[in-house]
Amino acid sequence: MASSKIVTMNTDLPRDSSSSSSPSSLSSSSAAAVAASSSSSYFLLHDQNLHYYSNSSMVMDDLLNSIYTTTTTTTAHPSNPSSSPPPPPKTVDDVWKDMILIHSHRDSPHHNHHPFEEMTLEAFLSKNGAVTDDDVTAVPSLHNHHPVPHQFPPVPAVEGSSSSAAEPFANGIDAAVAGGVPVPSSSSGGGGGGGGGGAAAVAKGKRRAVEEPVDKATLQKQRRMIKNRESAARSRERKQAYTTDLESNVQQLEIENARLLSEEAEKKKKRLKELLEFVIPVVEKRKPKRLLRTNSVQSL
Amino acid sequence: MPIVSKDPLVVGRVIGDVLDPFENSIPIRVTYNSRDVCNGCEFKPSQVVHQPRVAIGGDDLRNLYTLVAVNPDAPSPSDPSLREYLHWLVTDIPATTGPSFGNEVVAYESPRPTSGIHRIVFVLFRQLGRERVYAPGWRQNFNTREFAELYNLGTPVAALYFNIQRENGSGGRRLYS
Repeated sequence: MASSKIVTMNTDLPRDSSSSSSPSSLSSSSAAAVAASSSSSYFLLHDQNLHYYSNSSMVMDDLLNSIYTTTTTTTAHPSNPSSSPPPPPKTVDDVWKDMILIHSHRDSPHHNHHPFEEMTLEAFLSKNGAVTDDDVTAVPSLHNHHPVPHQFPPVPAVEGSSSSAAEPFANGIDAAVAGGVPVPSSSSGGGGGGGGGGAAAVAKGKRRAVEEPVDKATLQKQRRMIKNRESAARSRERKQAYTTDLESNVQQLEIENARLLSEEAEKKKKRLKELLEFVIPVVEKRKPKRLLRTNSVQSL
Repeated sequence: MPIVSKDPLVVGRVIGDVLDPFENSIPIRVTYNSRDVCNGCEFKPSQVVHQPRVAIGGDDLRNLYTLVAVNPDAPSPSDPSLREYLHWLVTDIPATTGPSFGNEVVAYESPRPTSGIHRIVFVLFRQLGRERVYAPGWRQNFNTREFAELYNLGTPVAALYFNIQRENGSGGRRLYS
């Protein structure tokens, strides 16, 4: 069904790579690598349902290709295609990080204030041009990102979103696999409210990389979630800043306190010494014993 | 962890949003009603109504300093379209003294944020000489970096910031702001 479809779709790709009519999603280097390396590893990718769309969302394909082909080329000697092992299993986090790293190398980071781990999905997409900025504001990332990270449902979890974000993907995947028609808008099942809208879109059977807003409520929710996420990040930052400030103050104060205490002790010692020098030893005379008058024979 | 620095100015993104990294060389102390400002601590609008006492360190009375107070999160930290909002600008402050001895170019305006939690940043620059400083036409969209470049102030010598939000807190939905 879905998987068979994929295999037939994409068997064209490796065969065509030798001819120059390779689809634009393959860069020249990866095309060469594909031709050189074993086709088995390439098919492995497809068996994993990696390339859901052959031509649309080509940017994601590009990235993923480059990740996988670089691993295959580094692990395998190009002249020995048969011995190249399949790429080492990467965790989702690794792949996500790689993707972002690749992009931070490619672009001069416009997102200057986002440490890359915190880059939101939509920011990443809009940078890649998979989604225009208008679409990003109108349609949150979940709609557009649905087709590609088909096998990466935890990807949004990587960026620290709530678990509800992971669910739309699960729902979407189930719907798509069952239906056999990859419909991005089925991801509007996310949030639950978009079920009706999603069904309508499925019925149309359109495959679109870029979505029009199907459900305003879901939209609002997504937007709110993103804003909330940013606000939470800011709040954490604030807390951390305050803590570090307190820590540095404490450190400084401790040092000063220690210094002052030792200074005081020293001064005390010095003063004592000085005082002792001026001390004149005085010997007290013994007082003569007072003779009491007694009836003694002395007074004669 | 992406942020390794221990400097609260970096962690709080003051260095980044408002300033470039610098070396702190002059101690500065800002006090609102006998409560000192420390980086990242929180004040209420009611506590910052009047201008604070600012004590500038240094040792040579001949050195003049410029003090700038801006809010980089105006009107809201999630949408800082008016970054930075200028609250106070005082020039020609001699070392070891305070802004009352200087030339107040832009009068102190009490911060009154309507949404979100804002940062108010105090920045101190050393002046090379006495120069006529012109007040900008409006307080919003002030750019501290450009200002420093325009008047040759170089890198800051001190910076301090605190957080401020609405008197009653920032949470919840406001029907009428």
